[in-house]
Amino acid sequence: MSTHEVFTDRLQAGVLLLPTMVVSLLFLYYPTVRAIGLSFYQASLARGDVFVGLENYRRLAGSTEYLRSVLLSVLFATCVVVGVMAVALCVSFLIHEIEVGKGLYLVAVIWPYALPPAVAGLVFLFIAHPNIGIFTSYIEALGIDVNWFSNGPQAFVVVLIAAVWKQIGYNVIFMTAALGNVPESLTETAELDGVSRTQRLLRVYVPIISPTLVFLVIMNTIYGFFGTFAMVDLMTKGGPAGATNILIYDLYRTAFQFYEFGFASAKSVVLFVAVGLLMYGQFRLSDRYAYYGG
Amino acid sequence: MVQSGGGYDHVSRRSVLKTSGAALTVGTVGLAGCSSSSGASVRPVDEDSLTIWHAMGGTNGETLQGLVDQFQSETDIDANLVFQDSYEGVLTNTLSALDSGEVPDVFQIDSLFAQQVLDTDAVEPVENLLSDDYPVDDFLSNVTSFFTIDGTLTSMPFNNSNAILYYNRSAFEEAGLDPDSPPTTLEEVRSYSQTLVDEGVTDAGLTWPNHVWFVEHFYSVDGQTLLDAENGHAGQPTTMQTDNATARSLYEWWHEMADNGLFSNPGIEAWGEATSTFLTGQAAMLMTSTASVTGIRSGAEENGFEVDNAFYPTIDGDRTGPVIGGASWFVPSGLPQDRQDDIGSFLEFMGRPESQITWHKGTGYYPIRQTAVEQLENDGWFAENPMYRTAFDQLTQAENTPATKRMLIGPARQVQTTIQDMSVELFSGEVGVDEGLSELKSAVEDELDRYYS
Repeated sequence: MSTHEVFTDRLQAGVLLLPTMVVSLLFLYYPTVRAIGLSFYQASLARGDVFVGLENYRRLAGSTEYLRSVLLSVLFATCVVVGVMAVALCVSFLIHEIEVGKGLYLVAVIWPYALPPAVAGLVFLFIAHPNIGIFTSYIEALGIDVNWFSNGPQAFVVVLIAAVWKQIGYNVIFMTAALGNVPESLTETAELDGVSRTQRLLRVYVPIISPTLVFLVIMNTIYGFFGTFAMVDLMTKGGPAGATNILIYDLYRTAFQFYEFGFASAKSVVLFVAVGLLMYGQFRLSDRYAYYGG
Repeated sequence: MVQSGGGYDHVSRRSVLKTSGAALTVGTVGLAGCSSSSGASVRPVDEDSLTIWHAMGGTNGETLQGLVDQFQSETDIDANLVFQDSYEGVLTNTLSALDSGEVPDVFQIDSLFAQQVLDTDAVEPVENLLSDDYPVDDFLSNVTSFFTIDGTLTSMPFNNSNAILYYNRSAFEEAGLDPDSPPTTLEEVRSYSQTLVDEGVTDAGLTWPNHVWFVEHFYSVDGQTLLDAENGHAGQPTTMQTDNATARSLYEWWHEMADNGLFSNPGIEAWGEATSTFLTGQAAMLMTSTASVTGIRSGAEENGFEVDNAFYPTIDGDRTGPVIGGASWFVPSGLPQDRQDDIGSFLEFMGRPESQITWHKGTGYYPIRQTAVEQLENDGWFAENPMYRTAFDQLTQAENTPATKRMLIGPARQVQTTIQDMSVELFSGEVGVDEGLSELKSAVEDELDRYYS
């Protein structure tokens, strides 16, 4: 497919771009600039702003609490990406292969994705609540003491499961679509050659749908760092004892509960740079490994 | 959105990703931190009507609306209630409003955040708005003492309560405990809980939401201030007082309760979960607000058990008194005189005995006027509602000391969060009591130092 100019008229193109540009400028770029500026101030609402230079960043660098939050977020996002994609790939493959009731399975899998994150968080809270959870007694029957309001590692796992559960549907949509685009002839050839199902998934399908997988790695990374806020807020509030205090929640708390806007801005700038670098790395990797055709 | 496997080239795919990635990151804080230099003239949100920001949801909100309707018809002053979802919501929006100069006329601030609002130097002491003959001394002194700073009533107390112990009489009987003599000390709470669990009556003995208010209660009931400088009422505090028997006994007991499965942990600030743990019979005792009497009584009825309440447990038998919780009405400074007169009328209306009786009966918050209490007494209200009697006795029998005035500090939310988070580590046994308390102390010191320096 060759690229060609759809709009020869620059003015027309500009007008069509305007709404997007205005929204981006107003709600993304301007706040970004403001946040960077604010990160050099000690700013708390209604008490005046004081310029402090790099003090906020110095405080961040010296904070073991913050370092812990950084490591926790990286671990959490990694687990989210790996967990979501492993489960979603298996589920998509099964849905792709099955003959009867494909639509039904697809709907069932996508359903959690259709819930707003806050609702998903609440639903999961009542599924897994240590005292009044619907599944709690069954899990406890297996000999596990469900105690994640007090037990940090357990809380981490519970929020992780909720985050993965919520995101599977999104991945399945893209993966089944990508699998649907794999030429039938390839599948037939593989079958004729006696390639096993697992091998067919891992050696044939995965390389072919790798652009989709790269896209999903990036979307899931963003989700792992940012999209899981509502679940943390509703289920654990960053606790117990900071065990689920991922960066985005920590940032929210600093800004909107402690009203330390300058310090929170510094945190958001650091997070921005970190995730930016991470994505850059992912793009570099994807250039090497993803198959874009041609 | 980007389609997979299709014919789009990967340059556009990448640019979409890059923009969305950047978009999601920095935006949030910058949007909120649009602080402008104040000092500009103050003007009301709505010129034609008093604007009241509050955090009373559900039936409490309806009761409040009823009072405001009555105020409007009696005075011909328009007043518009705006629900802000939560105390945090009112606080955030109020601070932004004071910053911008476009302000609500009255706002309801949780007592925990009082100092934070006072520190803006943008609020008018309500005493200046009340008429000279308004009987301020008819307010219950145990309530107004918190809101009176340097002898001036800074905000108008409105919805106030203490924490109290609720217990399941039916469960007590089933476990062979005397429901007429509920536990009064930590040790008794522990042994009662042990009996309840050993007899298989309930899963746990006691539950309460992990909120700093309960730690404040344990301290005040024991006559110990939580912070130096009289909890912030006599200057800027610098530290949390953890090096005492109160703190050690509290956390040793809390850890033991949790370790032996006698304490059911509903989570941080989990008021609703704590109450449902109690109402569904998983714990036989609950510590929560005195304002919950009505809800708990009807909940117990639905779940088929008899409920009662008793004074907040003491550390070791000595009882000073509880701290006040709940909120008060604040007013911004700098509004024109006629506006201030209208606001004064509103505050006087909300504080008058008739309104207080309506408010108390509709919500369970204390009536805070002596005259209102006497009226309720004469009407036989307390005889009909013995749980309100107990709640009220707990308030009026309290000594009025520095310990019974809850903390009044600027970084209240930070200190609150620190204490709540550290409490989890302490009761779950992640750290020992001595080590945990010294960590807690230095963390609180850091927060206080950062705010006041």
